[in-house]
Amino acid sequence: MTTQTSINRTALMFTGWAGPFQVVIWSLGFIVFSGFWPNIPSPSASSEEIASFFWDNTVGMRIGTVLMYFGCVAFCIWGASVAALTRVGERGIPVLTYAQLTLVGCGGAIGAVNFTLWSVASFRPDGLSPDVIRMLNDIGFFFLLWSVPIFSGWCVVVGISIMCDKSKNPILPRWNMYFNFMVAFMMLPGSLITFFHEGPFAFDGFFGFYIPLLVYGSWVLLMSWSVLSAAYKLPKQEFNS
Amino acid sequence: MGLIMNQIRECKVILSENKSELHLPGEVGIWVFIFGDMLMFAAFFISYISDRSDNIELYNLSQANLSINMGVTNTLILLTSSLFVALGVNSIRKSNRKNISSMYIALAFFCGLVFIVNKYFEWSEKVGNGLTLTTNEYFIYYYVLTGIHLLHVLIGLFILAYLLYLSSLDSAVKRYTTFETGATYWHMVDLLWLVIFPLLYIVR
Repeated sequence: MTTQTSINRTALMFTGWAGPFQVVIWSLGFIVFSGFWPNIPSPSASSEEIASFFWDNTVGMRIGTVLMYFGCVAFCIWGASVAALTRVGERGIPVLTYAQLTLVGCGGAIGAVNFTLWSVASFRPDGLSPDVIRMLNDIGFFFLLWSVPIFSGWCVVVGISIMCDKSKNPILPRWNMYFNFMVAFMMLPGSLITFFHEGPFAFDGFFGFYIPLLVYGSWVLLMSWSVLSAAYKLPKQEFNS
Repeated sequence: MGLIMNQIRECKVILSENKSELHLPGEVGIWVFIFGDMLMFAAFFISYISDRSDNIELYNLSQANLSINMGVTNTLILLTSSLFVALGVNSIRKSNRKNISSMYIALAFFCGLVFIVNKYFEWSEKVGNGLTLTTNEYFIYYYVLTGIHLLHVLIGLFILAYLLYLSSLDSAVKRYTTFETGATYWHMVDLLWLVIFPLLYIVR
């Protein structure tokens, strides 16, 4: 740790654990309750099929979207922990930390809207036309997957802040920079979902759906590990100051 | 492949010169990056081969629209650029040959530019003939694979430009690992094309 900045160990641990928590609670919502996987509502499906996907499982969908929403909040809290770590290595005005926090805020807002729309889609079964439901589904998936540039951008900023950290014992190791650049690349196929209704690059395809989500989840877990490793190395706080 | 043999030879020289521990060219991190990137491209290639086997006739018919000459030209350009990069990095170690290394890296950069210009002409010819990203499954793969590769080449140009700047400094020889790291990235870009080219242009 540098002598210039110090971090509260408990705060860093709390925010760091928000990462795995985010992954678990979101997956619970997305898979177990809402049922978005493995029966991903396809972009090539008809409006009636999509509407019945939302209307046949209203309770599960509603619970799932609530859980995903909390996952989104956990994401924002966790994002701060990564930014805090890179802040340690930044000298002077922490521009790259600012950049990260704006991207985290952006990602969080998009998540919040995303799950709201899916919840609304199940709010009035039979009360809306199936075309509207399909559009809500589409927008939801676009927010989920087409938003990869925000997260790629975040990875690039984290990578650059590690690159600029010239201290003797950087808090985030050098290979982490390359890992972040790699993740930034790997998530990019998500940007292609706007071109296709079917195939591997559509939002239910291998490169449109699986790659962005799996890469993102792995990145969250690995960065959480980095944050928590740094946190556990910090000295325990004394409560009488 | 000769370039890779060259690199391996370099490793062996350094090994015998110095310590007995293994020397990986460049920083460890670049190999982390390359591992992940290779995984991604392997996924692309497997996906392509799998989808192609379901529709061989369509793929072969579409492939006939490609210019093999253009593909071969691009392959030669990238191979030459890799040679220049290897020569440039090699001459960094000889600190009195700084200008030579700058020249080699500049030549490699120029090759990269030529590749991009070629790609522009190749794509605009196809688009002019009505063959776009969504024409059929083959062309989805064609544009996505060559597009992602092109993005790698563009980033490689930034890296080469940085190496070019570094090679002009007096402290260039101290940054040898940085040169190796950048060179490794560029060789990876070349290697990717060596797989993409036969896959898209030749395999029937």
